[in-house]
Amino acid sequence: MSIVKKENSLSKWYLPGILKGLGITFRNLIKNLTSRDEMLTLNYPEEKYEYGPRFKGNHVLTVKKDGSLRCTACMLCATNCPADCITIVAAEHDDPSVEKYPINYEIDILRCVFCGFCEEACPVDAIRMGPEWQVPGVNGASFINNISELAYRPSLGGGIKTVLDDEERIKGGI
Amino acid sequence: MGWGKIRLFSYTNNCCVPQLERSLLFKNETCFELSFNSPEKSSGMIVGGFLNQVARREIIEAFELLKGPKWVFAYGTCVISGGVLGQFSDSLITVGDILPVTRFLPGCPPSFDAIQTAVSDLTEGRRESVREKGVLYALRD
Ligand code: SF4
Ligand code: SF4
Repeated sequence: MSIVKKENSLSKWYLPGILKGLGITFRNLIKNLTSRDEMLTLNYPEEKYEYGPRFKGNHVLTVKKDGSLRCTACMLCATNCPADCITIVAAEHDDPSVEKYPINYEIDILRCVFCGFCEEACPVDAIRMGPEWQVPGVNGASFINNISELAYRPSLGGGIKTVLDDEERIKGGI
Repeated sequence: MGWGKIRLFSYTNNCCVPQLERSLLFKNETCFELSFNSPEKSSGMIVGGFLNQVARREIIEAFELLKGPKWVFAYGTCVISGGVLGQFSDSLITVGDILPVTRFLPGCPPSFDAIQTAVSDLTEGRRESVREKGVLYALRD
């Protein structure tokens, strides 16, 4: 296949083409100089990209007002997880109003695909996807997050409390 | 692309490494640049994607061609552990079994800050030595 370009009076002269191209260049240059906030390029290491409110980062296990875990070890998240990376060991609670609680809750971060299905499956809002991104690690670093990492890591400041507590939840029929 | 950047060879057969390549276009002053066809001119490599038989052979060939420190960044869940697909494979071989991995970057996709942090952590020592060399040359002159 060959392309035949028809010559017209404009394409004989190379100057109009060059001026047209430079016009686009200078238009973009002036646009970027006058309105710098609308530029697509980030000055990256100084200016960080802002993640959206629905960003799916590291998991957070929420806590009740007394600081214990909100999770009832119902295994819905472990069943729904497509990568099969949640391990829960359940135990019976002394308090009869609390059904069950997890004595061990582990998420294998190397297998998790950050899909958010665990967050959607949970009936009591016990697991959420947080705003922090996953940090890189060397071979042999701890990539299996346990309860102390998921619920009480220092950046959370003693755990994230949900709005409703158990009694209010039962009273409200939630 | 700028001077003084680390060149990393990128090998992939999935979606997160093209996304990284795309997002590099919109950021100034990142500490690395990507090369797609010249492992012999790169000092490290980014591996992504589910490793099938062809991919396993090719990343070993590319690793042997690398020069310098030969860093390997395992980028994304697929290459590290197989992810969702890994459960259904009877003979899963991950990147940790065949290459000496320098940094694991979990996530699907990993955040851009993660790879920037991983590369700049490794190159900090290198920048120090360059600075010392500059001082030496200045003294000699
Ligand atoms: S985000 Fe998805 S893959 Fe990760 S633990 Fe939750 S359900 Fe499993
Ligand atoms: S986190 Fe939610 S879904 Fe998972 S076991 Fe606990 S209560 Fe059930």
